[in-house]
Amino acid sequence: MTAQSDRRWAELARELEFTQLDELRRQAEGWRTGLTGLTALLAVLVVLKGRDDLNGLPDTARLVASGLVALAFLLLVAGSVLAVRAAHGRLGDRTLLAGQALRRWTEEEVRRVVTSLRWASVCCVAGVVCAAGAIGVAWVETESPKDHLVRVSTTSGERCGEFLGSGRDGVSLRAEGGDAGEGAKAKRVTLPARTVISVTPVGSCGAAK
Amino acid sequence: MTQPPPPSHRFDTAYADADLGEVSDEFTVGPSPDGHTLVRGHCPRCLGRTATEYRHGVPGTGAGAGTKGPPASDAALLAQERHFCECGHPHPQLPANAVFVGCGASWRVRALVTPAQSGNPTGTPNGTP
Repeated sequence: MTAQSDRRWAELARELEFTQLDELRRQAEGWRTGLTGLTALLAVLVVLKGRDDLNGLPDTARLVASGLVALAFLLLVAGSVLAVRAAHGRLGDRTLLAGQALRRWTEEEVRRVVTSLRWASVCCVAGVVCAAGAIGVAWVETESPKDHLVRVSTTSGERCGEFLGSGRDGVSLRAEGGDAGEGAKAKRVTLPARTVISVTPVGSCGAAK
Repeated sequence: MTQPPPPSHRFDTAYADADLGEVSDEFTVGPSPDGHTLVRGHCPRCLGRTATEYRHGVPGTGAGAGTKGPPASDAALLAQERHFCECGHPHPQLPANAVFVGCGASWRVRALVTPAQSGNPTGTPNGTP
């Protein structure tokens, strides 16, 4: 280090004494913005709702999707925090405001910022990939809901299933269970017209059959 | 104990960006009245009494990150610093934007001593203003 370089560092350290409050305010604003952005990550969890509700998945797929969502969330949080730290520094620490101390700190800080940014980008890309994977698993493994579901009340009870048509013979449904019992593959059932009391459209069959 | 006679401040020394290298003069380090760190001694060039106060602060985008091991003491850090004449006297040809008001000299010290080690517990250096 030349004397001229040392002088410049010392002068910079001296100037910093007079800009502390502005510097802290800038740092606080940066962290506030970063922490606010973190809350947006909750959208990763909110996205997997409705048709992509993980509860509607088979066990294995649900475990895989849940794991991917959790991993994505952690990676995105870590990436965001690393990016904020790289941009706005670590809060709370102070150093001696002297030329050579400031020079050493700057060299360390440059190395740390580069490392933080590298890891932040890795975490964010990996997090997005995990989130996309979870969404993909949810979409692939979720069955489409059946349309045209009706609940038919008859003199002997209720049946629920996909409405196929009606005529002189009665009301035709594609319903699960039936004579083969619960859990059997859906099959066409015709309920005689003389036994039908009412036909009601429903969103899902639920427990009633 | 007899104190050495105070050096005479050379007020007419012209300002110059002079690197004096490592000097063997005695400089003390200790707390300043408002709780910061104060380095005091006599400028080896103009012989004026010089005192520089060092504070702790936030350098910019954070601080202290990446440092390994326990933090060094202020005295240890300041022993590695280049020190500048801050005798406070506007020497001839002093630039208008000079950050350090003095004769312009800078130097490194072999070691910094505490006021107690220097035999002057008050930390007040002998010498002319």
